[in-house]
Amino acid sequence: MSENVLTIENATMQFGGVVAVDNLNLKVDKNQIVSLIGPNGAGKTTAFNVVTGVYAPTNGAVWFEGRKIIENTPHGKMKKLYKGQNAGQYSHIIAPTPDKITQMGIARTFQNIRLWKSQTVFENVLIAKHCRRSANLLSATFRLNADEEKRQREECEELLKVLGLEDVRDELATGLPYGLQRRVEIARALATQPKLLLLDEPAAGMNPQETEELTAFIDRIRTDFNLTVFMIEHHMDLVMDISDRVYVLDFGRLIAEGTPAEVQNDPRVIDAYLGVDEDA
Amino acid sequence: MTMKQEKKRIYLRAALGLIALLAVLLALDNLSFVPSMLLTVLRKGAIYALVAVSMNLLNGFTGLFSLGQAGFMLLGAYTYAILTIPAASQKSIYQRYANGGIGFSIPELLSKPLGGFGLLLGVIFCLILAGCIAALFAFLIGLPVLKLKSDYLAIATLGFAEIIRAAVVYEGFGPLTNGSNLLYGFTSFSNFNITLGGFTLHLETVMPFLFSGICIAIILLLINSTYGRAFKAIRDDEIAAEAMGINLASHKRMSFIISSFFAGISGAMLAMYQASVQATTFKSSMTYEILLIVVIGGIGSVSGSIIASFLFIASSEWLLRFLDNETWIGGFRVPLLRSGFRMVVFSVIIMAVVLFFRKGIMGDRELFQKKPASAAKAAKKEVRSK
Repeated sequence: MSENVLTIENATMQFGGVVAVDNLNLKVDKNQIVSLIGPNGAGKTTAFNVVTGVYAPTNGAVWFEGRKIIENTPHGKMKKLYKGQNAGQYSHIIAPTPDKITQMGIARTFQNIRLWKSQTVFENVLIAKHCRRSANLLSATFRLNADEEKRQREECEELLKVLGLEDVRDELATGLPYGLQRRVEIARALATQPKLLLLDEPAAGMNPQETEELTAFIDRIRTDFNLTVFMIEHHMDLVMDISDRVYVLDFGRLIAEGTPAEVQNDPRVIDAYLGVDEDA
Repeated sequence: MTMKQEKKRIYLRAALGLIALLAVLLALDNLSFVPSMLLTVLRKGAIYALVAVSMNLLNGFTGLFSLGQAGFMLLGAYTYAILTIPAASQKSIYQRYANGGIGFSIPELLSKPLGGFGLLLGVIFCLILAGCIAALFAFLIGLPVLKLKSDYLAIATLGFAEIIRAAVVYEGFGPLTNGSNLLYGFTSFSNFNITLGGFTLHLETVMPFLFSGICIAIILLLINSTYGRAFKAIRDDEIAAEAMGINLASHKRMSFIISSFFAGISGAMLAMYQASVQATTFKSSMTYEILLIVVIGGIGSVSGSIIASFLFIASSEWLLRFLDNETWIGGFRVPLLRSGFRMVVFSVIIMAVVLFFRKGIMGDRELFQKKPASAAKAAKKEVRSK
């Protein structure tokens, strides 16, 4: 039995009267690549936003490396409105902001690329190192952190080299081709030294060849950086190729889980998603 | 190795340049044929440069659109004035209030045992204290206000600046702030002049440059540190910044407090320059002047702000003065020139800048900065596509 990294436990996310994620239970084990798939509007990105602290779940908990990092119970206005399950099971409210989650070791990329537009590739990666600083405002201003700064710069150079981005080091990040921008986003996420990497549709807008390269790339960084990867993806080739486990969401509910082969043959999945969406 | 040598050479050149600048200023200060208007522009320009850079730190580098600068300058100016009015003259200055004034003056206390050095020390201490008071208020104001975004933040900070201005003239604070009356007689830049046997060495232009220069250098160091980079990330994309582990609330607060700290110092320096303080000086129109400097210089460019502040002060104090005066050429009265026309011309300049030079003089570049060619090209493309 491998070590568990992320557990989403009975997570329900309700916006007003709309239940976007309904009692989601999900496990990601160490060094695995786990995919979350589902038709548009199934609640995949919402689930990501719950894990990364963008939204506090209406009910449920999230565990990371054996520690409960997020917990919530329907309170305030939601107490009356809540339509989900397990309402009485949780009592605490733990709702860290996204930056705290990142500092714990969960990094993410975005579905619609969000690079810092006035910064070069190198600066984009270097800024992500800010959360691993030990310098305070004064020591940073008066350059008492020169050693740390130098070390961080070297780490970033190294990271760019490993990810094959050293040629575009000084280009403006948003001036790059789409595929490279995705790669810079991953580099930026890796610069925060995560243990768990969340990728939100890393292959969106890529052609089949680029997708293939990305597949190899994700597989490689998993071993190189000793990572666990949890991703949302629509490209079935990519998902079926490298996933150790696949979870399928539909209308906020988990309808299937298992190995890629199991999921592919699950009639509910075919009904909800694959049968309609794929040519095969 | 070569990188290090190159760096050394750059620092050496910068140091030499600064020494040369100070020497020129010293000469200007002491040569009798130098027009006094030039000195006025240099002195006031240096002070405005600091407050413009401090506003740029907040608006241009952190992306927080705040309009509270005049309020923080006022706090700095009053703090400085109250602390440095000589004990002997406090009674006559605060004549409307019995027991007015604090009863001592910090530069006076320090210059008694330490002489000229004590005076300098006292003034620096009071300047820093002026900044700290402004920073303290920024912290308090920031608690509720920094949760707001863009225009709402601007309106709220503008409101707070006006509240501060109104509160200072409140009768209850009279014994401290002298109500709506002038505060004067405190240590000003002319106190630094060195008199030796009938000859006076003037330092009235050198000192504001020195103080402003040090403050701007500190801001520059901050902007180029890891915190400055985090500020820029917040400006470019808040959501991405937060997702990459940058605490939005604490970094915004930091930027707001630091900006206000330096605005407070520049307010104190403005008080030193004017040799008197009155709350009505620090109206919201002052904030707009500073905003104008920042926009003309280029939002996100420190050197742009500095250049623009000298340009602005030069044209408003000196070069465009003639627009306000009725002028007769022989029997012909030049049309339009009358009191207030200067502001009309200013408004037209602002419109021209906003319409045709949206990035200002410097854009987001710096004066002695090498940007990669691709970055410059991409920036140009972006401008064109807009």
